[in-house]
Amino acid sequence: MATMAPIEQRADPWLVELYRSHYRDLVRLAALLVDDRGLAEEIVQDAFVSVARRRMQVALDDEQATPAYLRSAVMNGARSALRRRAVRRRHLRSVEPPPIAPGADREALADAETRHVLIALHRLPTRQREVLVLRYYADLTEAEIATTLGISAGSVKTHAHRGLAALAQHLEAE
Amino acid sequence: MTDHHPPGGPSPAEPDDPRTAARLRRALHARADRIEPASDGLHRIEERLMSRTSLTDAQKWILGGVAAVAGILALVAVVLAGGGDDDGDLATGSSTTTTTEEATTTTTEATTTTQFTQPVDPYAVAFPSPTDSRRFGAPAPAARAYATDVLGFTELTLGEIGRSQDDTTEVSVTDREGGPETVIRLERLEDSWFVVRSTAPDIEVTEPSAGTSLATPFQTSGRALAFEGTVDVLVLEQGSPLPRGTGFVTGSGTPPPGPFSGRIVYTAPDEPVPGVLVYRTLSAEDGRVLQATSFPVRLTTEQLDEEPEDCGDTSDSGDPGEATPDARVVKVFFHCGTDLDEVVALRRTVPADDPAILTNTIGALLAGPTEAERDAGFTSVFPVDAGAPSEQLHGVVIDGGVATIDLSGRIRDQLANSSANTLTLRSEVFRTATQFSSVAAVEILFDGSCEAFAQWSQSDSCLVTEP
Repeated sequence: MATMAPIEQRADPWLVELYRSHYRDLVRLAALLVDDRGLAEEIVQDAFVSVARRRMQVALDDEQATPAYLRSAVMNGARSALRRRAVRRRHLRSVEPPPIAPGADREALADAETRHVLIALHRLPTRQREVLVLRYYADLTEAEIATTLGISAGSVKTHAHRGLAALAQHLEAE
Repeated sequence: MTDHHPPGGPSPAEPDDPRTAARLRRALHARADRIEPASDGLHRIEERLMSRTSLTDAQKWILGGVAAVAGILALVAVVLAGGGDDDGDLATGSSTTTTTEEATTTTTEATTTTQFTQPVDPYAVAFPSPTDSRRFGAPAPAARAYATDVLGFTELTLGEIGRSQDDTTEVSVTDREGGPETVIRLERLEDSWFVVRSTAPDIEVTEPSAGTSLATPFQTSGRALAFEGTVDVLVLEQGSPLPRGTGFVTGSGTPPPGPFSGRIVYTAPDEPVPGVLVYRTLSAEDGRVLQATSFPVRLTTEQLDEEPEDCGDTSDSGDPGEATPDARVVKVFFHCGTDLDEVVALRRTVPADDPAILTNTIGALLAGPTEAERDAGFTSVFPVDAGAPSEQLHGVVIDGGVATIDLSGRIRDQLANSSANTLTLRSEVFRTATQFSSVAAVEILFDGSCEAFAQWSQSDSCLVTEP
């Protein structure tokens, strides 16, 4: 007990499998919310660390629960990151921050239509943006979105509806 | 994640604008599907896990009934107090443990995951869930697991174990040196340790109290001091990592702790379950959990009325009174629940002497929602405890489509400049003023000063041009 096993021997097949199945998708999801691949990766890694730690301590091997938990953790992480970013911005007192952060992958935004839509998306309130991304990117059902965000299915419907309407308005206005 | 639905294609419950939905779907995929994460993700995760694994191992030994438990615990505490997760120290240290009084009390019950038949009232404890097999033979590992798994601490130092009595004890937890101490209270029930509550120095919850049966949504109040006044509220089901609900309340951003009150919504379970309410504040610098007050509650299946986010059919809400030649029905805009994104209208009847209609309407806004409206879920920064509403408004001038609204500086003095407060005030004033066609934008002043409002709201200007 006096020495620790090297990391390879302790590599948990469960974790490796979870990583293979979900890591990339979650990074992409997070990147849509925070617009910065590096930050998105950190957020997803946080989520994995948290879910793996829980597994060591409680039985969390329900196949449904784990991805749902990861997704929730990623959404929360992205929201905190945005909040911190907003606070920093306010302290800098900058005027109207650019909707797409400088860290964004420029080439991915080359397409003018894509950029146009994403800028409009980032002008929406956080909750609406989250619901729209989970619905139209991750293709989750209303019930799944409700679980992920910890809100009611009714709110999901409302946010999706209002979000899409607001998005259409922004798109028309420009 | 591939595009399951063809652009513009049908999808269950597709909202009424399939074209925008299709554009959005295309753009999201165009942006995200090109992103390839760096290849070292798994390695990084494992690295970070490893710094934790040592502690988990230590816990396993303890749970496995290794003798001289307290010695290891003391070392864990020492290692952590030293500010590091140093595996080497911990591992070496464990072979040179010393026995203390604590050891004799903790080594006797060395059952880990064997079934546990003695009933512990699940509504009286917060952690671990009496219905699963996890048990703690000593208070410190239970406190640590609770702090990380339930309260959400990421870095933590366990403080002294208070030894008030044999069957109750307190363990303090801090996120950083000099940080606030959250005190976790534990009780020994049926030979293992359970967390019964945690108490943070800056978060005092007066409503609901521990053990209460809750329906969704529920009202909560108390006093808190936090960065920007914001206290996160989590509604957890005992033993489940996914919150049934999340929300926040706003106390004070500057000492002393200020009052908060709000409504929290959660997804009602199919049958009553033991739950835990967590109120926590996060660090301004790194977003880590700083302190948390938490206690067990009972989550019932009851759902009260409509969702507070909807706050009823707002166009007909409020007391319209009668529109007479001398009176006019106007709208005042408040928020609904804790959703900062939406304002909702309530009706008010104000004197109709035309030049002063906006003044009268803003006056009605400053009076805030009525008690009945608050019960229905409406929230607002108004009324502010800053004297009579008439004294809180110095004057209103409309010029060239811009309404300049001069508020009393006492409003500012009473309201923490949290983003929740500033956003709420701005949008309520803006939407209320711009219901009149002669008003397109709003300038908000405090005691005649544009700069004073800009400073308080941490924006560049006192001119508000959108909600």
